[in-house]
Amino acid sequence: MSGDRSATDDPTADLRPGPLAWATIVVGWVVMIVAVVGVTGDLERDELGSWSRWVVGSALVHDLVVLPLVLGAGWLLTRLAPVPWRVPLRTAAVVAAVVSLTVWPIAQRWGARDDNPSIMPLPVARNLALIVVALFACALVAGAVAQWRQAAPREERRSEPEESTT
Amino acid sequence: MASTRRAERASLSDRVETARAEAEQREVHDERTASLLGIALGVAFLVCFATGVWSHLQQHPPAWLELPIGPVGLYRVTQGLHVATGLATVPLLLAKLYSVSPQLLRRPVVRGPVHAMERLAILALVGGSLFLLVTGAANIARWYPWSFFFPVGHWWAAWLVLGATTIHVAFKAPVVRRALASAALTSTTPNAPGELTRRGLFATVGVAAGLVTLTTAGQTVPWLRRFALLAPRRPDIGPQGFPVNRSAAAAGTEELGADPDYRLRVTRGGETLAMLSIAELRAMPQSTESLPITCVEGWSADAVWTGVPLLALLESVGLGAVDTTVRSAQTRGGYRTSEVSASAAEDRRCLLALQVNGEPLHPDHGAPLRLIGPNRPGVLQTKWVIEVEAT
Repeated sequence: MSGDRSATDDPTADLRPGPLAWATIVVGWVVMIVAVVGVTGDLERDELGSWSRWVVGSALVHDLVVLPLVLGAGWLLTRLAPVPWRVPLRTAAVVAAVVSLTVWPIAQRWGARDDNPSIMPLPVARNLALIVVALFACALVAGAVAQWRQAAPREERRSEPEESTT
Repeated sequence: MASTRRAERASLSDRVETARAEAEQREVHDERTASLLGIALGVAFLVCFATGVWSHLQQHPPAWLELPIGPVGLYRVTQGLHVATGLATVPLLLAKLYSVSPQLLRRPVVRGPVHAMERLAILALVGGSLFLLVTGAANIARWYPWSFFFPVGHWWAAWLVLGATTIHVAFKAPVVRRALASAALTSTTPNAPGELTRRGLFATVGVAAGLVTLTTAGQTVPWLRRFALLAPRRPDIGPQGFPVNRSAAAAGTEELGADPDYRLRVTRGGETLAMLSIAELRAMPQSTESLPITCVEGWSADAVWTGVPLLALLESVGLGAVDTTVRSAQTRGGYRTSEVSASAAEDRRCLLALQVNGEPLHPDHGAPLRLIGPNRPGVLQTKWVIEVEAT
């Protein structure tokens, strides 16, 4: 398509939904309305308030807390880490953070019950810590290898004139 | 003074817009990256939605639908897939939101009624998607920091996300088509040294999703059990070698198994057809079946059950395979009863079990008597059974 369109253009600016798209949009809104009517009918007033807070709050917490933290961490890493170390460290940090976030309620045993030891019987917090340490150990090895690779050609270049004189 | 502040605001706004435009030129934020992540996310959510609807139908079967009795482990597969896919979707969703994050700073926020409607659907999509994953991850840890009933909230949020996704796809389909058909719309800015590339982002998502799956799926996949380092359950840990969802202490039924006055009532239309002691139940024809117990929270375990086939019990009071309601002694909770359809009751693998793995049932597994049948969610395998009501 239009190859002159740059990636900085607003991707939604030229959208003009056609008849099929409008029909799909209507279907989507009908499903959303069914969901809202359904949840309103099935939950009590205070439960509905809790549900709504968790739906809207999830988006707000992501946009206003999680995303700025991620961008801040990325900015900090770019400022502090030498170039060859950035990708391994970034990858390890992202994987460690996402895995930790996913299993955090399990690691913290927030739902544990004294009368039921079969719930969360494993030392997940310790296992998670070991996994995070292993991830960063891998990142350090990968970073060191990248650093060594980057340095190696320069040393070769430095040695070239000496070789050419012999 | 006021004009100075206005100028400062304008300057800040310009700087933000410049930073946003620069970020958007990076490969990880371009349309191709967002489109590919969106497609993957759509597939993952579709798997979760389909398996979630299946689970809902199992728990609340409509009158017009006859659910299959087998294969025996079908629910184990579908619910295991539901939870595993949901957990693996966390890195995918976060990566997708990261890829389109520069859009958050685009101004004006709303350019007209159609754009406002699209933004509203995106709020429902983002909030609903995060809600599904956050509440799902909390549920498998049995942690409920909210006041609504989890299955109800999760169910309707899934429909909200389905509707919002439909709208989002309608708006973005041309963008996705463009981004996938041509490299022209993708970033032309070379990646800075040390910057995450599109491939790097996808690899990171893959590693995170793979690691989460590898370390949790062992709660239901036997050959991954040894890697289940982060799983909320181990299928081999619990009384009599497998887990429990609700203990006898929590249900207030600890003494029921040892109660000499225990009787199973078989009723129909308010009339009591039989009152059976444990000894009388043991004297009836017994059957032994290997059936998995599968929890809606994604774990499952194999066990060998011995007891009276429900059909044999019904036949002993002069009935055949009919729809039945099985009632528990527990006084609280939404799963005190469960329905067994006539076709499920006709299957001789549907038992009122007195034993598991060769031993009398542990109180936490429903002593003295529990329902166990093929291809049923664990919450419908009613424990501490005191009544079977035939219709």
